[in-house]
Amino acid sequence: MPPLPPIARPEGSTSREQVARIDRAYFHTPNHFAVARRWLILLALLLGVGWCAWGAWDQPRHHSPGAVAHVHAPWEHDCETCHQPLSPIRDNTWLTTPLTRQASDAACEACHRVASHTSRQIAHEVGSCASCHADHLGRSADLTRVSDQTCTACHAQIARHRVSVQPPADGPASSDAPITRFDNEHHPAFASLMKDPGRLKFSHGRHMRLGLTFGPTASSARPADATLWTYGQMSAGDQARYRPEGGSPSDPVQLACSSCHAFAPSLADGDLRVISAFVAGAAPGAYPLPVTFENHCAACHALPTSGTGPNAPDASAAVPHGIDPAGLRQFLEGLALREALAADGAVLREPLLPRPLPASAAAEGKALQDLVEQRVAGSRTFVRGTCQKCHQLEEAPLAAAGSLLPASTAAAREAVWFRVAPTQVPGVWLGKARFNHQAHRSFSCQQCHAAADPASATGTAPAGLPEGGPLDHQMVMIAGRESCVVCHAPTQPAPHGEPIRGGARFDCVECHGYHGSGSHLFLGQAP
Amino acid sequence: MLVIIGGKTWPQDLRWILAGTASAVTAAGCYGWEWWTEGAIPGGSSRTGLVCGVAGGLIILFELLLWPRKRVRSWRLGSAQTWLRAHIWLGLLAVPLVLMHARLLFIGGWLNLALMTTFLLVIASGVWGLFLQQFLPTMLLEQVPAETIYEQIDHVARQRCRDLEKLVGALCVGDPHAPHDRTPEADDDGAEHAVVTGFRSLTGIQGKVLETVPVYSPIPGTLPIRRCFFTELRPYLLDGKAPGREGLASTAAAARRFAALRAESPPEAASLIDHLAQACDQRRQGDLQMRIHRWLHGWLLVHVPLSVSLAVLLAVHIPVALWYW
Repeated sequence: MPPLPPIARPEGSTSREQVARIDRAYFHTPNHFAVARRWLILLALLLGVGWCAWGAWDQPRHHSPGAVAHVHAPWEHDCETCHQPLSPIRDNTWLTTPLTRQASDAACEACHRVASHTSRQIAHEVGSCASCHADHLGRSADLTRVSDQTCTACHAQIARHRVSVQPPADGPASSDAPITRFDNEHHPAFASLMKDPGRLKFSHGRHMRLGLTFGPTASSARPADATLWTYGQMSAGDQARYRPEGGSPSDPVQLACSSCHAFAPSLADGDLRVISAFVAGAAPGAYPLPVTFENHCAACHALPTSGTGPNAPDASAAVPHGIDPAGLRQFLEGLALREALAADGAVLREPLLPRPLPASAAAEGKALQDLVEQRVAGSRTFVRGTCQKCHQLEEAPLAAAGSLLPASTAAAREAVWFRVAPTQVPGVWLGKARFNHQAHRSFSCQQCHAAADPASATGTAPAGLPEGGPLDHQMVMIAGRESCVVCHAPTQPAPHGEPIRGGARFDCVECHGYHGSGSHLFLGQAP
Repeated sequence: MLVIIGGKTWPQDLRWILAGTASAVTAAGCYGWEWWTEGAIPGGSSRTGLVCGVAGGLIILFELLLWPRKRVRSWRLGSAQTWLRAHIWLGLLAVPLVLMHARLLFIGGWLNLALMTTFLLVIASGVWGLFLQQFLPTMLLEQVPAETIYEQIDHVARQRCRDLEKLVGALCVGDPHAPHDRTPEADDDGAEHAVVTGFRSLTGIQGKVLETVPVYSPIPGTLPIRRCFFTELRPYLLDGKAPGREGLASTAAAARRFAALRAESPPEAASLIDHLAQACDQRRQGDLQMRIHRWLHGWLLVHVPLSVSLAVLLAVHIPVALWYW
C-alpha cells in the first residue's frame, strides 16, 4: 500500500491548526466539469461558425427554405433572380410597400405577362405575385394551386372589394353573394346556368327519341300514328355516319349524344368550324366541338325553297344555311329565273297583254317577270317558315337596288325581308369556370344532362314547358352546383360496400382561374 | 437553484407563468387569425411571424446574458434569483414564439433546421435541468448530511483516512506480518490524542465536526481491526466505491461487516470501530454527493455549449433572412 500524499499543512488540536486542515485554495483545483464545459463551449462555437461558413459556401441548400418548383428549377441557385435584397417578396409583412411590391413583381413579370383579374378589382388590394404563388414548396408543387383564402379574402365580402358599377338595364347585376367555400350553402348557384340565353328552337327530347318523333317524355312508347324518320331518308354518306352497324335503312333513326357532340381533340380534315379561343385553348376533349348545321343538321334538315319539290333537293336548289337577307333574295330570284327559263324559254318574249301597237321592249318578258315574282314570293314564304322552325326571325328591310328584277316590279319593291336572329347559344356555358368533359368521361351524359334525355327527363322541365317537348331552348339542360358537390366535397364516410361520397377536389382553383377573367358576366349576356 | 414545485417562491413564479401564458395565448391568437385569413401557415416573414421572431430573438439574447451576469456578480442588475426566474420562464415563452416564427416547424434550409434543432435541444436540456433541480437538492439535503464542497470530497476523504490511520496506528497492535502498514505519520508524533472528522446532527442542525480522541496505548486483540482497516477500509475511504469494494458501499453490508468486527474485537475497541463505521458512512455520502452533483450539473455540459452554437446560428440567420426576405 503506497503511503498517502502529505497534507499541505500539519494538523493539530488548536483552532488554527484545525482550520489549516481545510484546503482554502480548493477553487484553484481543476474541476473536470468546468474543464469539460470550457472545451465543449469551444467545440460548439467552432461547430456553429463552421456550419455558417459551410452555408455561405453552399447557399441554396442552407438558406433556401425548400426546393423551388420544377418550372423555376433553372434558377435554384440564383436567388436574386426572384428575390430583391432586403425587399419582402410577399405582401403579408410589416415592411411591404408599393415599391417593394413593384420590385418583386417586376422580377416575376420579366417572364410572366399575365392579365389582371378584373377591371373591378381595387388596385391596392391585389397582392404581389408571390403572395399567392408561394414557391419553395418542393419540385412538384403546383404554383397555381393557391389556397381558397386567397380568393375568399375578397369574395367572402365581395361587395366591399370591388369597384361598384351600374349593372346593365336588361339584366340583374352579378351576384354579391358571399363565397367562402364550394358547397350548396357557401357558393351561389352558377349564374350562367340560370337562364338559357339561346334563341335556337331545338328539342333534345324529340331528337333523342327513336324515329325523331314527338311524344310523352317518360315513356319510350311512341304514338301509333307517328311518322318515323328512317336511315333510308338520309343520304348515303349520312347513313354511313349515323346508322349503327348491322342496321337497316328502314330502321328508325336513333341519335345519341355523340351524334352531335364530339369531343375530338382536333377537327378532322376539311371540317371547318369556328371555335372560340377559350375552347381552343382548353385541354383536348374538355369541351365539345361546336354543333354546326352542315355537320349535324343537314342530314335530315335540307332547306328546300318550296314544299312541292323533293325533300332533299340538290345543293343548287337548297337555301345555303347562314345566308344573309340580300343573298337570300338574290338566291331565290336567281333560282326562280333559272327554273322558269328551264321550263319554257319562250316566256321571255311572251307579252302579258295583247299589244295594239308594236310591242315595246319593256313589254317583252312581262310574263317571265310575273312568273318569277310569283315564285320568289312563294319561296320566300316557304323559306321563312322553314327558318322559323328553328330560328327566331327579325325584319330586314332591303333596297330594291340589289334585286335581279327591275326596280319597278313588285318583287323588287318588296322591301321587307327577314333575317335569322343570332342563336346566342353559348359555346361554353360555364363562363367563369373551367370544366373538363374528358375528366368526367366515366359518368354518363344523362347524369349531368338529364333533361336532354326523354327517358329520364321527368320533372326536370321548368313549369310551363312540356316534358321533353318540342322546344327546350328556354331551359338549361346542364346540372348545376348540386350535382357537382356530390363528388367535389370532403370525403364522407360510407358504410362498407357503399360508394364513398365526396373526395374530389373542391378548392376554388379546381374550377376557377384568376388572371384574365375579365369582368363578371351579367346574366343573359353571352360570353 | 430554483425550486418551483412546492417551493416557497410559487407566488412569484405564478406571476411569470400567468404573464408568459397570456403572451403566448395572445401571440397564438394573432397567429391563428393570420393563418385563417391567409389560408396558409404564416411563415417567419409574416406579420405575426416576424413579431414572434423578433420577440423570440430578444428572449434568446436575454437568456444568453445570464452567462455574463453570473460572471460579473458585481453588477447590480437584479438578484440572481430574479435573473434565473426570468431565464426559465422567458425561455419557456420563447418556445411557442419561435415555433410560430418557424412556421410550426414546416421549415426548410439547413441553416434554419440547424438553428431550430439547436434551439429545441437547448430548451430540452434546460427543462431537464429545471426538472432535476426540483428534487435533487432536496435529496442532497436529506441523504447527504455530511455534504461538502464537491471539489473537496477527495481531499476530505484523504484527510479522514489520514486521521483514521493515526488512530488505528495508535490504538491497534502492530501486525508483524505487515510492517509497512505502520505509516511514518502514525509512528513519529507519539501524541496523546488524535483528531478525527465526525458528523453531528442536533435539533435539525447538521454538519461536520472535528473530534479529538484521547490515545493511551494499543488495545490488545485489535489486530483484526488493523488488518480490516488496511485491507478493506482504507482503499474504500480513499477511492470510494470501486469494483470489489461494493460491500462497504452498501449500508447493510457495511453494518454486517462492522458487526462481525465488533464480535472479534475487545469491548474497549468499540469506540474505534464506531469511528471507522462513521468514516465509511461519510465516504458513502461523498459518493452519493458526487453522483447527485453530476446529475445536477451534467445537463449544463449540453445546455451551455449548445447555447453558444445557438447564438452563432442566430447571428447568421437574422441577416440572411432579411436579405432573402
